[in-house]
Amino acid sequence: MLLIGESLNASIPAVMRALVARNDEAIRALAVRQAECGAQMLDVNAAVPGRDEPEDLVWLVQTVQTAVELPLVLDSANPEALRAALEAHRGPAPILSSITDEAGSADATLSLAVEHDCELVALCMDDGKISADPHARFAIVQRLIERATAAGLKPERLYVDPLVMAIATDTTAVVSLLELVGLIRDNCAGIRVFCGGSNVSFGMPERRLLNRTLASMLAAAGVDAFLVNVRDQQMMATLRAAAALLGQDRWCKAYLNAYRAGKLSTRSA
Amino acid sequence: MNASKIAQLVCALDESTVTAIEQAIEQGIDPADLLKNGVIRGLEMVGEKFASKEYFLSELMMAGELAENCIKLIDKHLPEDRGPSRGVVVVGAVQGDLHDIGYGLVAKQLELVGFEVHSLGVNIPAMTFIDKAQEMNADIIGLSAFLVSTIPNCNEVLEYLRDMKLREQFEVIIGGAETSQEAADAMGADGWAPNASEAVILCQNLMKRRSQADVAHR
Repeated sequence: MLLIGESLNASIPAVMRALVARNDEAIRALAVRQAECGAQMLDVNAAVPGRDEPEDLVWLVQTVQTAVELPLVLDSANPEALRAALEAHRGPAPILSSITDEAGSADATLSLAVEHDCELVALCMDDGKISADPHARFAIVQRLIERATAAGLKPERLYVDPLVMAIATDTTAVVSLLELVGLIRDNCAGIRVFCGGSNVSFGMPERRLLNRTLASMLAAAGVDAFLVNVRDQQMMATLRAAAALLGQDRWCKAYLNAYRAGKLSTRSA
Repeated sequence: MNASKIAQLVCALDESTVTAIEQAIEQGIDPADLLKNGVIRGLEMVGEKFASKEYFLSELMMAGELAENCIKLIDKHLPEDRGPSRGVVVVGAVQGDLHDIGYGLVAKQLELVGFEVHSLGVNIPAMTFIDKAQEMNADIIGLSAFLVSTIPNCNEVLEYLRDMKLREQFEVIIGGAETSQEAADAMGADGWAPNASEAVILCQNLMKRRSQADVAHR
């Protein structure tokens, strides 16, 4: 189970302000805080409309890497931003996030992943509407795998993101999601599943309760990587418990270490 | 049973509302009254509870579904000719934006009050909005942008319309979580609304303005 910190994202207003103002202290503090909370990787996203995304992403990567040793997820739909960030990035290869099943930028990003031997996240969508039907979405997963394989990416370098939708507008969204994860698990050897976002609870009260309950279900369904708010202590406690319960935590060592460090307390951070 | 009781049932998301409407029609209550002062009023009340954060999104969706079932029933009892549509709206989420909830709610509510609505979906290129609006002879183009990063793509639609000398032909409105009246004004849109119920009022007002302008023009 891979736990990725989601907070260094320019769609969050405070992060966007820090990015635009080149407030390196604020960015470093957020990186350090997520590392302290148990993030194993940090997602970095610098997409701000009307700005030079390659330049911003390079600054963000360099700033984060002065603060923490954690590997990064370079998060951009823009292959030029990913290319620039890859050149500025040091240390072990980052994960690239993300492509969709659309020609053009998907192919550019795929060739970057192959060239730099990176793992890559592919979103389960094409240029059409997002279908609610798990089988229609599984067909997109198969096309994404074909596209990646044709470009020379090994299946074990690919993560598929099945996309989490809101239950407020479709109460069957999670049932379909779990079915889709099962289809990927059973039919796509070597492919790993990446789940991000707290979309599931959009429009509902007590969002964190829904988010962490879903995380536990997804872990049981076989999701490998979680892009989450690692500063949500109850989310992290739930995921650690899930890893222990699913036999993914040898002799429950990580769970017990987290317990002794006081990190399993259900009080909010 | 009367229209205001129906409004209360809709507002309470009571699944027996459809049966209650059947009874009301049997009792001889005017279906048009049941529609306007019952179902539509009930929907407005749900909208108010949503705006005041007493109700949540899934309850708003449920109200939409309930109202739709009620309207299907009432429609059978209304005179055949309900007059022309209240206006034609083309709506969707702009390019780069995949959020289908907000514009979907707006589309549904507009339909319920009698607009002819063409929903385009999400991640819609600027030219698709314009092509569809021309094809359908639309009155209003509704652009939804949920993210800060996709708001400029609303502006793009307006710029294309200006370039193509079509700007005067359509009312263009924007909406979505990160949009604002200021953003709408800055790009020269005809309106903005913070939620689906306000969007309905905005469209109704724009249609009034259009029909007045039309009369003045003649």
